[in-house]
Amino acid sequence: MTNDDRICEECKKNPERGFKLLLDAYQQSMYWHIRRMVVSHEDAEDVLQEALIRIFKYLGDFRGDSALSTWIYRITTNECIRFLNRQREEAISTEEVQEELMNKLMASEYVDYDNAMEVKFQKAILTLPEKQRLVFNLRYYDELTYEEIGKITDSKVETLKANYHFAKEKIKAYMSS
Amino acid sequence: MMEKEFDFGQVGKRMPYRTPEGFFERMQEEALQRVAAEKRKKKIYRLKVGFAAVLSAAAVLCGAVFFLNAPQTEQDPFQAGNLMVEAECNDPFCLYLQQLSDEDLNSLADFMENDIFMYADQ
Repeated sequence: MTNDDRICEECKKNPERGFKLLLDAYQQSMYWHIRRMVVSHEDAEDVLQEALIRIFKYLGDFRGDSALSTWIYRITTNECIRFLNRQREEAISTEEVQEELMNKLMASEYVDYDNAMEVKFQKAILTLPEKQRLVFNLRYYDELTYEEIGKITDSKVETLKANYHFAKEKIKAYMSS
Repeated sequence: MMEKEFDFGQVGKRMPYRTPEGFFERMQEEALQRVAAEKRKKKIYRLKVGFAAVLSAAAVLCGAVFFLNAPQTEQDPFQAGNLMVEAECNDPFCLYLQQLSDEDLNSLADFMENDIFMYADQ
């Protein structure tokens, strides 16, 4: 029995205890996925809260059509996109949103500026279009397969492969500049 | 001179991001508290819906009982009105008024309104 099976079984018997197991297993990876997308710690905390509530709310509806981790990543990603869309509604352009994320990266209490290369690497990721950034993060940091990313983002594997390739090329160019 | 290509291995998965001390523990507690609150809210909502359903059913039942027990008599409303007037009107002045035509009643009303001595003794 996998850990995911144990979580699902516990969720059916005792949702609150099952949810606690889910938090133990996925809370951190959810947070880092969100943090890489929204950059600021405070925003990541808010988005994580929303995603967790949504997960608890719909946990009973999870039928196991995909892996539990894929389902969790999908909800978390949707919550990130919802947050970024809200920001876009307030901003004048997509570039402005990108600029805002860059500002958050460069002026945060919770960013370690001592390692210049790591900061530059995050800046390089922030120059990517949102979809490429999402695909890059899920593949590079979370090591998800293209099939899993496809289920999370409703995209074809070929498109995702192309997105990842272009993202890597852009990052390489930015880091070499 | 050819630029050296960036090697992803130089950075790996390291990130400059940090979290406040004890963040994940606090976050987990907060999430569990929020979930418990959501559950309570859901329970209260279900109770409210149940209560409203019971109230509606009771109202429908009361209505049905009331209509089924109501007397099934048919009456001419004008006839009924006359009976009421007759029942209430027993004194001679009232009987006198009943005998007057509409025209006489109007004249009497005008007279009473304009006669300043009418209620002088009262």
